[in-house]
Amino acid sequence: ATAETSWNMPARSNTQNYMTKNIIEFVEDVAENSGGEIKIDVHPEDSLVRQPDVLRAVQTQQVELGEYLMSMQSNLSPIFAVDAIPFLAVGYEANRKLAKAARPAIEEELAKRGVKLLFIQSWPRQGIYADKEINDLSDFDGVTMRAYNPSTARLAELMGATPVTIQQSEVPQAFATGVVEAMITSPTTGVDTQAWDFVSHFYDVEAFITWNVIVMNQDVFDGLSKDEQEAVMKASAAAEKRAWKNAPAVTEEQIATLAENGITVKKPNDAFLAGLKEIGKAMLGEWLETAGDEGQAVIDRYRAME
Amino acid sequence: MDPITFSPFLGVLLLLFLGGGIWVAVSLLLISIIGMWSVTSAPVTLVMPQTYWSALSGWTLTALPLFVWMGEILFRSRLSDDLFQGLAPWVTRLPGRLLHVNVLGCGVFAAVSGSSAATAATVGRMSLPELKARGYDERISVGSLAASGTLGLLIPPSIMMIVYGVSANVSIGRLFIAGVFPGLMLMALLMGYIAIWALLHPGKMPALVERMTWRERLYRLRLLLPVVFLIVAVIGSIYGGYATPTEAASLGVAGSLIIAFVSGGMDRVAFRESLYGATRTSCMIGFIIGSAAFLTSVMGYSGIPRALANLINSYGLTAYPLLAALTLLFLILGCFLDGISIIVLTISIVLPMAQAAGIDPLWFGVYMVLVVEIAQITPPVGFNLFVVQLLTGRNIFYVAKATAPFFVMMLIGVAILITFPAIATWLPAQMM
Amino acid sequence: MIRGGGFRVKVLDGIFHLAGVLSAVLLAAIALLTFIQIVGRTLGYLVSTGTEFAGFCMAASIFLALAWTLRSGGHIRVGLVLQALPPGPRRLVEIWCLSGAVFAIGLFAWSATMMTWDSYRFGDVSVGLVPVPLWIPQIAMALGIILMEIALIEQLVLVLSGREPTYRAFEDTESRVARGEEPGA
Ligand code: NA
Ligand code: NA
Repeated sequence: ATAETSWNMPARSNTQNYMTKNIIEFVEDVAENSGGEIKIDVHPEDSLVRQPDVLRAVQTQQVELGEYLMSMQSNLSPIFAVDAIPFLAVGYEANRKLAKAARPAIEEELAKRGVKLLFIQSWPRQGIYADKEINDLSDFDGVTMRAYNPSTARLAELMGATPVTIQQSEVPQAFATGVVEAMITSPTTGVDTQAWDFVSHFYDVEAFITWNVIVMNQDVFDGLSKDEQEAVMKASAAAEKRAWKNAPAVTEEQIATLAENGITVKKPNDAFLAGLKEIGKAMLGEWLETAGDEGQAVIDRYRAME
Repeated sequence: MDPITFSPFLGVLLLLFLGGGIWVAVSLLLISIIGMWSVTSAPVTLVMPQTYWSALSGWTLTALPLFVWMGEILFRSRLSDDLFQGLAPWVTRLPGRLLHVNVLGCGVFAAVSGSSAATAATVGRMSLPELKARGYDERISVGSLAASGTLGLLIPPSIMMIVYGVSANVSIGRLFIAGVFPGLMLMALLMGYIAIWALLHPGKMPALVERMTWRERLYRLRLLLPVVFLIVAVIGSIYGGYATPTEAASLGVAGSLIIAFVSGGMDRVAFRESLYGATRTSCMIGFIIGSAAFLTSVMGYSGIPRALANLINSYGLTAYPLLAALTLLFLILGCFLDGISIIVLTISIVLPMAQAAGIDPLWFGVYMVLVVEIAQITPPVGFNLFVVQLLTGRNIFYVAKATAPFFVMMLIGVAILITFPAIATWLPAQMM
Repeated sequence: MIRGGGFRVKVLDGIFHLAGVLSAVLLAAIALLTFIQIVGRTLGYLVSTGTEFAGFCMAASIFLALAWTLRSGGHIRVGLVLQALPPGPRRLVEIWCLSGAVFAIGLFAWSATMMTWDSYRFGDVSVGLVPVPLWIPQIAMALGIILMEIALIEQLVLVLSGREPTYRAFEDTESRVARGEEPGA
């Protein structure tokens, strides 16, 4: 790459988000490591390419690299939903191991599309937002719950709630008017949409931790000089390290923000948690059925690290 | 080529295409192709279909064809005539009389629809033929429709406020509430202009034909029942928690079909014609939306809007000069891009600037929505102008000229909002 | 309406009209899908796929109606210059408009076809609750733009051979209706 042409990189969130900040740091690192040869323009918040199209855009070189929520593409391969299996890997320590265990399978799946995985960064752990107190799963009977992908829909279903697909943009309105009564998402999304305006309770159930993947077109990467490749990979490794180091602190900070603004933040009680764990087991079983031997291998690798 | 120096050339070329009679959507497509080839290295043939597909296969846009269809159904029913008959005796003392229907109708419809093109299309399909049949001046009714369609974005629900709220980390609920008074203020400004115009041009107003007793007036009110039923059903479904604003459009269709069949005027032929009319209108608007999305994508790749915003940033202005500069920037961008695109393309630079100048992000959101919605009525690319052009068959210059006084009123609205920021911030502070 | 060309025009007319009718049916389907979703949710059933299919219906409806809308003068443009010109120069401007459109839409048709082919080749599926192979809805998009290109070429041939384009009749009627010189249809 010459200094005149800069790469375009869609990032998922707004510039205040810690993951976007991390990406901007990554971009600065790449520039520095490559002696200013590689310039990257970050386009935050779907302003260039919408989330569902990022993988395709990178694959076909509409952009050189980009960030998207990995599980968004879970319809392409069950491997992309490994981070969305509830209670498989609780806590950042365990989750990072899961990422390590799953990485070869993810890389392989992406490689089929000529796409290279640069790094994985984690969202804050997902919890359950509700407009009432939850004591056990029976409290979800007849409750409408927002689902945004097949796994959250299945989770809601197993919890006994009615899954409802609502676009992110319509979530506050839908809560305000009662179209949805509960959702499962991260504290970040809760803070970004100012969830205290429309829900009363946040249950820190630590269901799962979703990942954003930062991917690059393989041909573009192969077209770089050895030094430039080195520069990109070095910055990627640093970015991944930073992301996982920052995530826990950011999570606590954002949960505190939820509480400060009047949301009742709670850990689930034993009955509630036990019910959820049952569902987690069931969903792992279902996932293994679709993911086959490849999926089993990931799980085995992860269990060996535990 | 340097994007900034090249952009005026692209602007002139676009004017040439549009002025030469090339269809609006095709002109935008052509200029995007040329722009992408000349100022970016992005692959045109890959990005082009992808942007169109993304822009037009999304769920939130489905409300648009449905509202357009609703307008076509109501146009063919007796409802619009009834509405005017019912309202007429009540506005005889108001200067401008039924001309205010556009502003009021859009104001009410804005509480249902989050888009301004849908607002203008649905209300205008009913109001313009009725106003004309009653001998009202076409120019003023056309202009007021195009301008008051923009209320769809300022009065909640609003797609644009949601986009801003998520980017700026501002509560969407608060933004919605903050938009209420500025929306009412804008309505007052538009109605004020109509009233003054009517007083100044008594010769252009139709003669007052009916004098009625209070009994007759009250009896006439029954004609408004179907409209009230429809509005209550649609707004009620949203605020009662049965439907999201996007879904509510389908209830609007169902409700208008019921009204049309019950009140007469709707048979199989009329049903088919309403559907065909809606299909062609949403095809026309959809094609332009797709082309506009492609142009937005070209702008994203070229970095032109960001560079312009950065240019303003480099002056380190304080609040008032900054707002003046931003207003100018948004107005210029607004000639070529639609409002949501402007927000998406510039927010990451503009918002930190505003915060650095000590501007409240909540207020700034309302300001930004108000300013960029003016883009809907500025030529050459203004969606409300296109909608009105289709409804009337008048050319876009006529429509733009008819809208010009209302454009000035909207600018005055912006000035008032800047001078008295409490118009936006007072209500949310009371309520939340 | 004056129109030459006989059989060829009739066949094209039929195809464009058929695509238009299909568009109308798809638009009605959006209303129906959305309505079912509201009712279903209110009764407690999961009908979540409606949103995704409604989006696909909309894209298909818009693209399949392109050619039909073109012929009936439904795509708006700035007709000021065209209306002011005498027949000779007007023909030249009309040729300029149609050539520009044939070029742009031709490129678009080719790109959309390639995108659909890529979607098929890559096995891309939608991201919603039900994985729909993307080439299926996208084929409607490609087809619609190809029809539009055919319609534009046909109109260009008409104008080059010295006749009026089909949409002009509608455009003139519409502006006459608007000016009140003629009652509305
Ligand atoms: Na609105
Ligand atoms: Na404009």
